[in-house]
Amino acid sequence: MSKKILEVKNLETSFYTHLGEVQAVRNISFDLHQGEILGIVGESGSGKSVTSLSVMNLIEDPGEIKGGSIRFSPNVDDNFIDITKMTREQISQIRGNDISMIFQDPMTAMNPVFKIQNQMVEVIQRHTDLNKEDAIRRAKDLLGQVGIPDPEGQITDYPFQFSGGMRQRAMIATAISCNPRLLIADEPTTALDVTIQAQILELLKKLQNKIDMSIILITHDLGVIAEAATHVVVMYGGQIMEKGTVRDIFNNPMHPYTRGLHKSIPTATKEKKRLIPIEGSPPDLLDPPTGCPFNPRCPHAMTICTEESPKMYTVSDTQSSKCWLMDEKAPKVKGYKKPKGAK
Amino acid sequence: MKRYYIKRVLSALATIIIIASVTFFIMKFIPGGPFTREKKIPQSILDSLNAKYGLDEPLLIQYKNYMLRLLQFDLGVSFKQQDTTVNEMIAQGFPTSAKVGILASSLIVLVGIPIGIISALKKSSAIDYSVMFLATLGVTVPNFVIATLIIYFFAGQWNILPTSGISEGPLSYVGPMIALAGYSLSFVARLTRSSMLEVLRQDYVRTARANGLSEFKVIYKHALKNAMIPVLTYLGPMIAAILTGSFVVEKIFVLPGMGRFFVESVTNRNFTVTIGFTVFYAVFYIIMILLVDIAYSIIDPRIRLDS
Amino acid sequence: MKDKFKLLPKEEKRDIEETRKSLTYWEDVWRRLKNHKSSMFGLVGVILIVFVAIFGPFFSPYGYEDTFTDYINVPPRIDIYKITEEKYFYVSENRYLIESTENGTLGTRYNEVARDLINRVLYFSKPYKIKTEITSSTTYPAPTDLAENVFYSETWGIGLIDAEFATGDEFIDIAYIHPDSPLTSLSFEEADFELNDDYLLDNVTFINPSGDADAISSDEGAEFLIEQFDTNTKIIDIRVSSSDIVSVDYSLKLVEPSERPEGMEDVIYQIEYKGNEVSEVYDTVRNQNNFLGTDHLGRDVLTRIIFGARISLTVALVATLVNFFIGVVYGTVAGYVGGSVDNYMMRIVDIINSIPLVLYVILLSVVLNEVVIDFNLFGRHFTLFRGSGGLGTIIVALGFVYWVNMARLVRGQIIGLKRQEYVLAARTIGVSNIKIMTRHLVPNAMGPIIVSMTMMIPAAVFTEAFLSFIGLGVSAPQASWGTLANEALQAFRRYPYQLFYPSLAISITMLAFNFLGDGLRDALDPRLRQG
Repeated sequence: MSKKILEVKNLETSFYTHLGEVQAVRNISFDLHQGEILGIVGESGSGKSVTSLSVMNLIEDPGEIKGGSIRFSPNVDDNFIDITKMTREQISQIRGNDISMIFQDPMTAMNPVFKIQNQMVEVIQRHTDLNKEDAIRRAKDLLGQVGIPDPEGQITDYPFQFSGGMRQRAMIATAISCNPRLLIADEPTTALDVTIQAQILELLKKLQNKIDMSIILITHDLGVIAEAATHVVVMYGGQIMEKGTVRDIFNNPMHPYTRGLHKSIPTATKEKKRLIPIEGSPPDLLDPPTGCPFNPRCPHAMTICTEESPKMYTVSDTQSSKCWLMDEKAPKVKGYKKPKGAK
Repeated sequence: MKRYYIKRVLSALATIIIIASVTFFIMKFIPGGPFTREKKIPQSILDSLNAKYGLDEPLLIQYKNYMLRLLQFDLGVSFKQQDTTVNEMIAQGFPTSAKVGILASSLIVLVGIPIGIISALKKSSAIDYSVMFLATLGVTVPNFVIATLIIYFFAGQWNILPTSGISEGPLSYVGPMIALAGYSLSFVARLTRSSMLEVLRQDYVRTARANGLSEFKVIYKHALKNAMIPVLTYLGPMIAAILTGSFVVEKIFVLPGMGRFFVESVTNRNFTVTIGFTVFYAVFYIIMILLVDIAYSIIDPRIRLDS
Repeated sequence: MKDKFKLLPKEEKRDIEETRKSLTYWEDVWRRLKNHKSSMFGLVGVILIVFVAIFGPFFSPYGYEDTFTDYINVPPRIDIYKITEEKYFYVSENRYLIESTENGTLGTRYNEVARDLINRVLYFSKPYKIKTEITSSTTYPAPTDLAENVFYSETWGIGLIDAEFATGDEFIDIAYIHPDSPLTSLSFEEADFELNDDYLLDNVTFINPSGDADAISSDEGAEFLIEQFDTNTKIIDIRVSSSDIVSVDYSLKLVEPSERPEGMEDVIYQIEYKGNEVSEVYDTVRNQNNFLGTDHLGRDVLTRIIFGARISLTVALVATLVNFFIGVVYGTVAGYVGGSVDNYMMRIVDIINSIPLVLYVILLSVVLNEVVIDFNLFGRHFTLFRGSGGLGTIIVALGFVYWVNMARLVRGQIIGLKRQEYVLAARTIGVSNIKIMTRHLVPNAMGPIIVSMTMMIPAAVFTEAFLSFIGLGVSAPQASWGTLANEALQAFRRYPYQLFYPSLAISITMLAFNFLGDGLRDALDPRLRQG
């Protein structure tokens, strides 16, 4: 196994609104290794974006990282630093340099009043010692790498002169300008046309190979996960429901929620199969249900599910599931195989 | 890009022509001529007066003459003080108005914008609340009240400032400057604050942070330039209005500015002066708006390049 | 423990969707508004102001034109001097002497009977008024030896001459009284006058039937003067001053406090009455007659502010409604029709908007001031509109000009809304254009329109005040807050309260509407509608 570069432990992030505390992320832990593409999947409000912003320490007022640690190794030797404990200045040295991020809506994520060149050079110069001409050269080179047809001419354009897909490419070019170890892509394809989506995902995979970075890919679309990710974290109600390799999650889902997700998306291969929606609506994070957050909608809910939160049951070396059905005391439900040695 | 500027200049010119025409015809349709007095003037004198000022010619000829004179920046003669021209009155009043106006505008820009930014950055702090409290008072208290309060306390009770006129050196400009700036300064502070808060919520500010830019650069480069767009929109017309004189403040502080002539002409029914000043104000105002539009297009490339 | 792992039947599951009550749009707006402290303050303020403007005049004891000629420029708080146990005096800024009670209820204003300009002492005495009526219709022929400028009344049998006090007060002096005139008997014998001992009638050599001019001078400063002389009703008013002289020494008032003699730094007036000398202010009390004082004509400031609220708010409200209707109709048509119609309509708006609106309003006011619209109907004359009256002019001028912003706003909203599916749906089932505009488009654009109207009201109050302030406002005796402020400006250093209270009224109104508008904007802003 390759080196671990990120270790999130017991992360808790909340927002304090006039209605009360919204517990957006509740006690989640996961690891990321070099070269992995970790897909975080979940519906809106599941806490996936908040998780990614927490990793960047970009949570702003009225939000706050309440607890847990986010340990990141910026260089090759295992020198872990805790992002949650860094000063503003320290973290801004990391951002855009070792960890960078691209956002969902390329239309609004670039500053409309500065030229692409200005915005890229600024980032390059912030994190490297290149002089202006070299930085411009590097920016053009990067734009070429991400598939902008005429970097020489288009680098002096303003963002609004680019199409959505082009803008996302420019965003990616900026994000990889300092060869980050980790790229966080928050729904990078949601706002784009389907054909452009595939191109962008291809581009991300290509770049990941080329500069040997890891990617956290946040999406609500299982199709995107299937196409790009190597590992998957399934989130619901601010908690991780299940995690494993992409193979585990697609071939052997061990959580009723993951299964629900699978049943509710259309596939091209199996014809004439009814889509089954997950009944109900996501939990109110102001007042989350006790026990497992999924229990009100779970087809196999048990009494204990409404009382106690389940722990993470190890299903296999690579897969674990946070579901009481994995407990040895639980009744047998068709299709769910209890892991050996589960307690 | 060039086309944009040409278009703007042409439309400004067209607006000026329309305004001049509209004011001309409005004044023609007012009942009672410029020589109407309480006491009847003999018809023969009236006729000779009308002939002297070309008022006996057909309307369209009068209009033509008026517009031709306007092209030569000639705003006509005051009908009440027959040996003064409107141009002379403007030349007499504008320097004072402009001097006070420039001071007030500088105060607005140099104080209003910074306190708006500080207030936005320290949102919900004591500084923010006190700045916003003062700013809210500033936009709700009319300028004649501010002016009279300044005179009453600073000039009358505490004797710090001179009460009226501009003859007593730099100190005599302080009162008019504050009274003139009060409302706009508060407005600009509020506008800057809300605009800044709005911009700080934008995705591109988060992107700038995510790219590791220093907080200084995030705020003073990325956020500020965008936040200034609505402020600039307001500043242009405001500066035009302030430079051409606030009638009220000039009246209260007894300044020999343009406002006084204008108000006098309104109360004396001295129509040529009223029209002349209106046209002057309008032209000045339109030029300022034009300048703002150009500044605007420099800040915001979307306007310049999108058309 | 085992049964905890029993699968739950479906009906026992908690149904989340029922846990939150859903609110309609306007309920939600109200909820947000209620949470907005300053806007609730604004709302309460607006309700109070409107309440005062509507009902205030009914409860006001005085009319806005009522003048108290004895109490001119009396401030809301007055310094009173105690002279004897029951005599308190207030000396006004322009040195009138007014009797007061201990708690500030003002009484008779004393007449100045003499002045010593060298020592700066004024002498005052209490005036009495006598009113009498003549019943007989006898005439009294005039004597032949009257001076040239004497007016002689045959009905009363008296000769009158215009005279003037040293203070500038005008009065009518009696030059001659006919021996048979009823006035002579009135002065001496009628018991109805309840004249007390202070009244030195006995010593007055009042009448000289021969018409000798010297006879008019009275003893010890007491004077007679005829205030009103009405031959139609045959009523005559005579003012008589008593001989109880109060002297007011104001010499120290003109000296800087620091330069006054030791121990006299606080002394402004020295008042002497029957040997009692007082130089210390007894108390500063609230003016009980006129809560906020009186103006330069002796009108009650509070009453005028309350009536002014009516005028200011009427102007603001009508102008805002006019703006609302023109702006909404214009904006809706431009936005809905679109194309070149929209283009032309918006060019017009641009032109109007490219002039400072205040200039336009001034220009229009000047023009409208000359306009009178009247007509004759059934032999009677009606005036529909009189520009010089002010009120109508301001409303028309404001209404004429301020709609452009509303039109722009509405047009923008409508353009956004008309692409919505429900509008398309309505069109596909053949709803008429008018109905689409009135039923589907305008109601949905109401939020921003309301905010804009709330903000327009203080703007209109402000503009009206400003116009009145430069002399284009409503004409006397009616007064808006701006007029009041303008009138007070002439002498505001001596009587700052006359400027202060109308200004305060304007500021509070502006503040209340601004707070409410701010709150409404936050409450109606869809971008914030997530929490």
